[in-house]
Amino acid sequence: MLTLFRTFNLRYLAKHKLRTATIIFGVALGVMIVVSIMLLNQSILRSYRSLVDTVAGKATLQVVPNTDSGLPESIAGEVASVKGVKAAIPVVHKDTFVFIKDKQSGALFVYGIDPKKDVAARDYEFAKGRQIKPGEFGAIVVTESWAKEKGLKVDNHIKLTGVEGIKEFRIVGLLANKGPGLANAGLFALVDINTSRALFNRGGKVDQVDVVLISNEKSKTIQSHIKAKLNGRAEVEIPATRGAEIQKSLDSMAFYLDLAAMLAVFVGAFIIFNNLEMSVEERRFGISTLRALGLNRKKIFSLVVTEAVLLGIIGAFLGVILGSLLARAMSEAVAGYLITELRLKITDVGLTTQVLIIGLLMGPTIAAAAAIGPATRMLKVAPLEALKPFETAWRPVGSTLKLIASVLVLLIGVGMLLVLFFVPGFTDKISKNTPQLTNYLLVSIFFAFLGMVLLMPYILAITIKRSNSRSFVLRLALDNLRRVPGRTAATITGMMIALAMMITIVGMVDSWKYYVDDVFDKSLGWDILVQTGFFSGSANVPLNEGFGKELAKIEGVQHVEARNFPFIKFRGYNIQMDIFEMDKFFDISYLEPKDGKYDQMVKDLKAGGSVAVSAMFAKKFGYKKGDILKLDTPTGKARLKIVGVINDAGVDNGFIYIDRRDYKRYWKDNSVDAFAVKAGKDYSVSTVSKKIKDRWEKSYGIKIRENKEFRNEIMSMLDQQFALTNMIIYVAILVAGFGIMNSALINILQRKRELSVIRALGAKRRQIKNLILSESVITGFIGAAFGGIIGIGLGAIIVVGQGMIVDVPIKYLIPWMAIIGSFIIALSLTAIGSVIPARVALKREIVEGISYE
Amino acid sequence: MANKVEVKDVFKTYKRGKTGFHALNGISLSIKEGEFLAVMGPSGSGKSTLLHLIGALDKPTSGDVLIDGTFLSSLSDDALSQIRREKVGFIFQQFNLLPTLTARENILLPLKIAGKSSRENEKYANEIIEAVGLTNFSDHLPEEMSGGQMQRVGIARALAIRPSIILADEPTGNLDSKTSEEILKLLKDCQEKFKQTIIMVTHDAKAAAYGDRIIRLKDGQVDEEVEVYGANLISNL
Ligand SMILES: Nc1ncnc2c1ncn2[C@@H]1O[C@H](COP(=O)(O)OP(=O)(O)OP(=O)(O)O)[C@@H](O)[C@H]1O
Ligand SMILES: [Mg+2]
Repeated sequence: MLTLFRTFNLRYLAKHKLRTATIIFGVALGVMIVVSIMLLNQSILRSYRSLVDTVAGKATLQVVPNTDSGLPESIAGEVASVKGVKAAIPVVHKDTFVFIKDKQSGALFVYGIDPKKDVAARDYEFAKGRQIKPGEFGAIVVTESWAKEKGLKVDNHIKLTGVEGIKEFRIVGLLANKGPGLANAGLFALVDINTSRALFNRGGKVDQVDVVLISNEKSKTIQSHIKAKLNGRAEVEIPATRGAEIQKSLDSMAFYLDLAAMLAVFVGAFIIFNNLEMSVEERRFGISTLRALGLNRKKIFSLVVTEAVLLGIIGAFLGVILGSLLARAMSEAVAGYLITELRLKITDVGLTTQVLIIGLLMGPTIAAAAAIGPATRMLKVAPLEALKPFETAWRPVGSTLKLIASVLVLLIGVGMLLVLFFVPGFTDKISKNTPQLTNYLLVSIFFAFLGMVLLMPYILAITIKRSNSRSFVLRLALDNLRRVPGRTAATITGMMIALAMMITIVGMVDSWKYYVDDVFDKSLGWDILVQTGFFSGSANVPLNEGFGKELAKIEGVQHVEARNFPFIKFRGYNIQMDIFEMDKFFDISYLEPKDGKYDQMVKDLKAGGSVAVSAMFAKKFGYKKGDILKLDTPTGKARLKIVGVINDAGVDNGFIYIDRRDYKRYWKDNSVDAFAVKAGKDYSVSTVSKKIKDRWEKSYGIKIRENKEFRNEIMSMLDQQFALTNMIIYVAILVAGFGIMNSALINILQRKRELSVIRALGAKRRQIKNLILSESVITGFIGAAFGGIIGIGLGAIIVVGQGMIVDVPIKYLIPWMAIIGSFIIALSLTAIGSVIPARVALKREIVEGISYE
Repeated sequence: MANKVEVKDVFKTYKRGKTGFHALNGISLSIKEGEFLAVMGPSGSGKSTLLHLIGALDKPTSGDVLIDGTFLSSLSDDALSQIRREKVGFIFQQFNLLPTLTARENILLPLKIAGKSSRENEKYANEIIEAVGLTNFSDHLPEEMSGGQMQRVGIARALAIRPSIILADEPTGNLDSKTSEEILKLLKDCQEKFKQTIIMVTHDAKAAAYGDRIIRLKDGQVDEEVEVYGANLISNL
C-alpha cells in the first residue's frame, strides 16, 4: 500500500506542483479564517477577563451599578456589614483622555483608590517611585510600560480631562509589569479616590465596591447575601465570570463573522473539490490500469482520501499560521469598534491550544469531505474505460434523483429563511435568543447556498445552450464550459458565493444606513453636540450642569439641553438609555411613535414618571404602550409608565428614553454626557461652534460635532462593524478569482490536444488568448450574475426580516453600486486570471498536443 | 516549375536521456508546385516529424524549410499562423477533431478561424463533404463516428480551405480499401483540378502509387527516391 501510495500519489503530487499547492491553499483558506475568528473572539474575552481579573486582585466579588451612574458611597459600608465579608473596598474609575505636553495622547483607565483600604484587594509593585498617599491631590501612578511608551519618568507631568476641565498631575510612581501593572494593556493609572471623585463628578459616590471574603466563605453564598441586602440597587458579580456579558455583546458581531467563515470554508472546499476532481480525472488512465491489474475499489478509494487528508494536514498547518497573522490584522481592524462599543482594548491575540487543535483537525476533515465526491467518481472508472482514446464530448449532468435532492436542499434553505421571517409566532420565539437565532440563520443560509451549488450544473446545462455563434472563439468557450458542468459549476460557485455575500452585506448596511439617516434627519434637531468624547464611546468624561449655563451665554446659542446616554443592564442585556430634558427636547427634536399619537406622547413624557421605549425593546422584552417598566436603580426600583413605542434606529436591544429629572431622582447622577445646542436663526452654525471651541477646547478638552459630522460618524461606525466581515469577503473573492484562474489552467492542461489542433489550423496567438479569456470571463460573469441575484434575494429577506424582528419600518435598498462593482471585480479578476493559462497554452509546442502521448 | 516546398539540410533533434536523438538527420528535399509526393518509411523514421516541419507546426533544430520561397525561420508567430491557415491543409494521423463540434462544424472550423466563412466557401465545403461521403453524418459528433468516418472529416477539414499544400499523414490508415481508393482519387483530383501540392505519408505501397514521386525515409534521412512510372515498379520497393 505504501509503495503504491508513493508511486501513484506522491509522484503525481510532486509533478503537479501548482495543483498540489492549490489544494493546500484551499484548505489553508478555510482553516485560516476559522482560526482567526476564533482567536479574535477568544482574545477579546481574554482581554476582558484579564482586565477584570488583574484589577479585581484578591476580590472575589464586585458590587457595581447597573448603569454608569455610580453608587452612593454608603453602599461600601452596607456591603462590609454583611457576614463573611472581610473588606469592602470602594473604587471610583473612569476612562479619560490624556494630554502630554498639551497634546492629546490617547486614553487611560483611571482607578481612584483609597490607598489604605486598597491593600486588602491588590498587591501593587513599583518599578520606580511610590504609591499615592491618602488624600494626595494632583498625584498619579501610571504603569511602567505606558510611561516607557510615552517617554515619561517619575516627576513628569501629564494632564487628564475631568468635568471641571483639564487638570494636571505629577507622576509619583510607576507600576511594575505584573498584577495591576498589566491591567488594560498598561493603559491604567491610579489616583486618590477623592481626587477622582472631584475629577469625574462622583461626589459622594463609588463606581465599584471590591469585596474580599473571609477565607472558607463560599463566594456564591455571600453573593446571594449581598444581593438580598441591596435588593436590586446594584449588581453583585463574580469577576471571574464576567466574560459572559461581553460574550453577549459579541454575539451580534459574531453572526456576520461566522457567516463569512462559513463562506470561506465553502470557497475553500470548492477549490479543494475542483482540484481533486481534476487530479482524479488526470489519473483515470493510471486508475483504470490499476483496476485492470486487480486493485479493488476500497483500496482506490482510500488512496484518494489518504491523499486528500495528507494535503489537508499540510494546509491546516499553513492555515493555523496564516490564521494567527490574520487575527492580528483583524484585531487592528476592529480596535476602533471594540473601544467604542465594548469599551475594550485587545491585549494579546496569541494562539491557544484549543484553536490549534481545532484548526489542525479541521484541515484534513474538510479535505476528506471534499474528496468523497471525486473518490466516488474514481470508483466508477471501469478497468478498461480510460484506455479508450477518445474524450467524450458531453459529460452527463447527473441523475434525476440528484436533481430532486438538489432542489429539495435549496427549498429547505430558502424555506427556513422564509419561515423565520414571515411566520410571526416562530419569529418572536426564536428572535428572543440571539445565539439560537444566528445558528438558525447560518444553517438556513448554508442550505440555501448548498442547494444553489448542487443545482448549478443543471442551471448551467439549461442556460448555456449549444450556440451557433459565428465566432468560433465564443462557441468553443461555451462548449467547453458546458462540457463538464460539474467542474464549471464548482468554479462559478466560489465566485458566486463570495460576491453574493458581498452584495448581501452591502445591501444590508446600505439599507440600515439609509433608514438610520432618515430617522436622524427627522429626529436629531440639534446643530452642535458638545462633549468630551465620542457619542457612546469609552472615554467620555461627563461635564457638569453648570457648563450648560455657560454655554447658553455664548452669543448665537438659542437652545442648550443636557443629554446622557448610559447603558443599563436589563435582564442580562445592555440597553442604552437616552436621558433627555423632555420639557426642552421636543422644542428641537422628534421621536416617531408607532401609533402616530405624537402630541399625547410628548405631553406624557414632559409630565415625568414615564418612559418611551424603542419598538425593538418593546418587542424583545414583551412590552406595549401603557405597561409599567420596572428598572433597578441605586435607590431601589423605579416604576415608569411606557407612554410611547418609538420607531428608532436601534438594532441590537433597543433604547429606553427617560426624562432627566427621573434619571436624577432615581440614579442620583447629575453629570452630563453631552450638550445639544441649537444656533439662533440669524447665526451660522459654524460661527457658533467656533466660538464654543475657542472658549473651551484648551481648558476642557471638549469636542464639538456639528450635526453632519455626527451623522457621518455614526455611519462610519456602522461601516466599522462590518470592517472585519468585509475583510474576509475580500479575501474570499480574491481566492475565488484564483480558483477560476486555477480552473482555467487545469482546463488548458486537459485540452492540450484541442488547443494544439486549433493552432495547427492557423489560429493566431490573439485568438487563443481570446478563447481562454472568454472562458474565464464568462465564468466570472455567470458567477457575478448569480451572485447578484442571490445577494439581492438574501439581502432583501434579511433586511425585511430584521425589520420585522426589530419592528422598524425599514426598506431594502438594492445596492446597485456593489452589484456593478462585483461585475467589475469578477470580470477583471477573471481577465487577469486568464493571462497565465494563456501563456502556458501558447508556450507549448503545437506538435506536443496533436500526437499521442 | 518553381519549388513549392524546399527542405534544406534539416535536423530535428530530441533529447533522449543524455544524448540527443536525431528524428531528422540533415534531410534535404524539393517539392514542385502541383506535385504529389508520397513519403514512406518504417515507423519512427521521421515521416510525421517532416510533415510537421513543412506544415509550420514545429521548428527544425537546424536547417530551414521554405514555402513559396519564404524561409519559415524568418517568420513571426502570427505569420506562421497565416501560412497554416491559408496555405496548408493538414490531415492528421490521429484525426484530431474537436469533440464538441459536429462533423460539419469541424470541417468549417478552419474557415471560421481564418474569418472566411463566406457563402461561397461553405458551398465548396458542402461539395467536399459530399465527396468524402459524409453527407449523412455531417451532424454527428466525433464520438458517434467510426475511425474511418473521423478520418474522412479530417480530410474534408484540410481540403475545405482550398490550401495550396495538402499534408496528409497516413490519410487512409483507418479506411477500408474501397474507401481508401475513393479518398486517394479525391486527393489526385485535387492535385489535377486545383494544382494543389500534396505530400502524403503512407505505409501502403498501393496508396503511394498515386504519387508522382515516392521517397523512402530511414533514420531521418532520404534513403531512396523513385519517380513513378507504373505500378510494377512500386511493388518492388
Ligand atoms: N516530442 C518528441 N520527443 C522525443 N522524441 C520524439 C518526439 N516526437 C517524435 N519523436 C521521435 O522521433 C522519431 C520520429 O518520429 P515520427 O513521429 O516522425 O515517426 P513516424 O515516421 O511518423 O512513425 P509512424 O510511422 O509510427 O507514425 C521517433 O523515434 C520518435 O520517437
Ligand atoms: Mg507518424
